Order: sequence, then structure tokens, then C-alpha cells
Amino acid sequence: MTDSEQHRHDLFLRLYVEHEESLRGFVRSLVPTLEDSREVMQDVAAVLWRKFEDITSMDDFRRWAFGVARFVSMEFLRTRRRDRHVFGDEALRLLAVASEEAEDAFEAERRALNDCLHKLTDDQRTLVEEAYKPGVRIDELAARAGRSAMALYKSLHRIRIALMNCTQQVLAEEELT
Amino acid sequence: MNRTEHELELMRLYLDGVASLEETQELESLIVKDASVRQDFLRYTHLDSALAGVRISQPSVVAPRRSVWLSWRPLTAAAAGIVFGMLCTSVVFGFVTQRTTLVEKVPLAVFDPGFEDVDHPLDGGLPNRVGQWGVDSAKLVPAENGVQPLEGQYMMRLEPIPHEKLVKNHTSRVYQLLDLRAQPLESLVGDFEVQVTASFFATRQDFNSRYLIRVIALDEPPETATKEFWSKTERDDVVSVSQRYDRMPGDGGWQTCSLRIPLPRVAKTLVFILGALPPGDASLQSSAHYLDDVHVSLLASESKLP
Repeated sequence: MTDSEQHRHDLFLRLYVEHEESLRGFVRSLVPTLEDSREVMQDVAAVLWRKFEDITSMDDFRRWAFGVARFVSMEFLRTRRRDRHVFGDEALRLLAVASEEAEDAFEAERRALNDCLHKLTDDQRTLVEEAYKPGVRIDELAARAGRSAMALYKSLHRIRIALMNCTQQVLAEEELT
Repeated sequence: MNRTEHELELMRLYLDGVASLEETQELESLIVKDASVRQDFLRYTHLDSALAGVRISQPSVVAPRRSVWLSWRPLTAAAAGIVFGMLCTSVVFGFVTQRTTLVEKVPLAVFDPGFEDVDHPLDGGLPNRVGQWGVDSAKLVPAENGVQPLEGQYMMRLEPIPHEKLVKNHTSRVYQLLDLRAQPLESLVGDFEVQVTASFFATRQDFNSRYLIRVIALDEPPETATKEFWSKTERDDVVSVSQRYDRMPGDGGWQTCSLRIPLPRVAKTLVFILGALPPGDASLQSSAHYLDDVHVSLLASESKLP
């Protein structure tokens, strides 16, 4: 790799890592199932790198990256519409706009999440750790835990709601102090 | 948050991939019409996505404490899973691996890890004994086509398997078995993982290359482990983890990829598989890849070793 290529590579990585979490959250909003959204994110990363030389101003990276993520997600969804119900283009467009506009707020919530995770019970934390491991299937996890898949889905849903309420509370308290 | 239970349930159903057409349409309508629903839906998805990253920043299996996962489940039924899509550039690889605290690392004896023993024949497919490389379609070669071996004088050239060929799997793979009973497991205490590291080189650098590392641990000796092997990999009591690595176009040179899996103490045989997948786009012509410098190590949380 030449010095120039190395520099480009380093610059890309720095920008990508800076925005990766936001992009991941955005892609997750467009693509049903966590595993599919992980797969799409890999494609997003590959396309961003492949097209990186096209970008003229690094100040535009975020907007450009969200555009690429939206495009790649929509391509993925087009192939899946036959076997899964997904949103139409207008909903995806509105989500893209809202996601970009609220990026700072989501970042603040991610920071607050660390505090909130400590407030979960041991059982809740264990469930979150296991359920979010790559490749884990909820039905298999449920079978091992002696519960139904639906019960596990609902438990995870309740934990997420509790965490959302908690992050909102943490941020509200931060504003007061 | 002022969402109704019903609205939140619609979000969950959609994101779990189990929403009906009517439920999807109802949620979509809410998202299009109501900015506050849109905002809460995005909060939900960002939280879901963030939770998926929590595990990565808190590796537990090699941490100097007993992992919740391994204590919760019987050791013979440790994790079976598939992980796709880690980037495989050297820089990103370094970034990922720096997150884990390593307590003790013990190299395991791999037969001919640098592919230098050119007189030793290669088995076709999965080898049935220890001390042997098996290959689907590969050969040992010296430096060629401008590619220098990463280590020593020789490397493995993974030949592409044509799309037209009537085989179940078009990934060009190499295999090896390790007899864990001959490895220094007894000297270690606490939880441990096994780490397989290998380096790949793509002859075509203008499109995405995809590599695979798969590791399977079985609680039977090598002599019997390979009998009806592939059906065994589906069993709950067999640890089987597979990871795909994407090399981005333009990333030249040798790319080092690494996979770790929790290793049950009862495991007697370790099978590792390294491979180059055919291009995701079937219209692209498959090309050769090179493989070199394979390492397998035990990573332990505690050790009695001096």
C-alpha cells in the first residue's frame, strides 16, 4: 500500500468508526431482524469504502454515508419483499431524514444506556448478553432456557422499553444538573 | 414515552421480522403520518442496535472471571453459532482485537502451519487423522504471480471451484484436525477459548473477497470424530462457530483473520476449516487465493503455567 493509499485508508476508517453506530442504528430501523441488519451493514461498509474516492469533501461524509446506507438497505429490502413484509419507499425516506436529524440525540441515548444497563437485574442482563450475540437464534435460546420463543421475545421487548424510559430519565436528570 | 402498548408491540413485531402484512402496514401508516411515532421507532431501533454492540465491548469469555454463559450452560453444550461479515483489513482487525484482555496465550501444535512440507501429500477433503492437511481444491506453491509467501518458502494456493461444478459447497477449503488430548490443556484452569488465525491473499483485488474460518470442537477422539462428521456439527453438544470475513476491494497484500471460540473442557478433537468463498455476485469469475501462516492458540483466563 502506498503512502497515499494508506492515508486514504486511515481517513476512511476514522470517519467510518466515528459514524458507525449511527449508521448501524439507522440501518436497523430500515431492515427487519438484527441478523439481516448486520449483513446489510457489512455491505454498507464495503460500498462506502469502494466509493470513498468519489467523495469530494469530508464534511459531507455523514450525509453521504447515510445516503449509501439507505440505498443499500433499500436494495436489500427489494430482494426480501417477496418473503417478508417491509416498509415502502416513503416510510424509508422519512425515517432516513429523521434519523439523520436526530443523530446527536441518539448518540446521547447510547451514552446514557451504559448507566441504564447497570440497573438491569442479573437475569435481565444475562438475557440481553445472550440474545444479542451474533448468530444466536431466539427459538434455540428459548429452548435451552426452557421457555417459549414468544416469552423470550416479550421479555426482551419489556427490557428495551425499560431501557428507553431509563435513558430518557438519565438525560433529563443531566439537563437539570 | 407516551406510546401505547399496541404501537410498541407493532414496532417489536416488525423488528423481530414476524409482523404480518396488516401489522406492517399499520406501523408504516403511523410512521408516515406521525413524527412522534417515527422518532420513538428510531429510538427503539437505535437502542436495539446499541445492545448488539454491548457484548462486543464487554468480552466475557476470556475475562479473568467465570463467564456467565459458560456457567449457565453445560460445558458440553457451549455456543454453536455463525458469525458473518467481520471486515478483514489489517487495521480493522487490530481495532477489534485490542478490545479483549488476554490473560494467558498458549500456542498449540499445528501440523506444518506455514505449508513448508511440500513432500507430504494432501488429503482430499476432511482428513481422517491428525498431522495432515486436507483440501477441496488447493496445492502448495512457492512464490508465484508476484505473490510472496507470508512465512517460509511455500504457501497454499486455494483454487476456485467453478460454479458449474455440481458440489454442495463452492468454498475452496482446507482442513486440519488437532488432538486436544496431546495439547497442554491440563495445565490450565479457568475458562478458555481457542483462537485460530490465518492469512489470506487475493489475486483479484478489484472486487470483494470473502474468507471463512470455521472451528468445531468435539468430545470424541480424532479416530472417530471424522466419521459422519458433518451431521455431528449440527448437534447441540458440539461447539461449531463459523465466521466470514470480507476483504474490501483495494485492500492489497496479506490479510490476517482470526476467530475465537469458547472451548469446552471435555473437547478432545478440534477441527478447523479455512476457506475462500466464491464471489457473492455469481456473474464474477472466481479467482485463486493464497493461504499461509496458520496459528492456533489457547487463550486462558487463568493458568498454572510458570
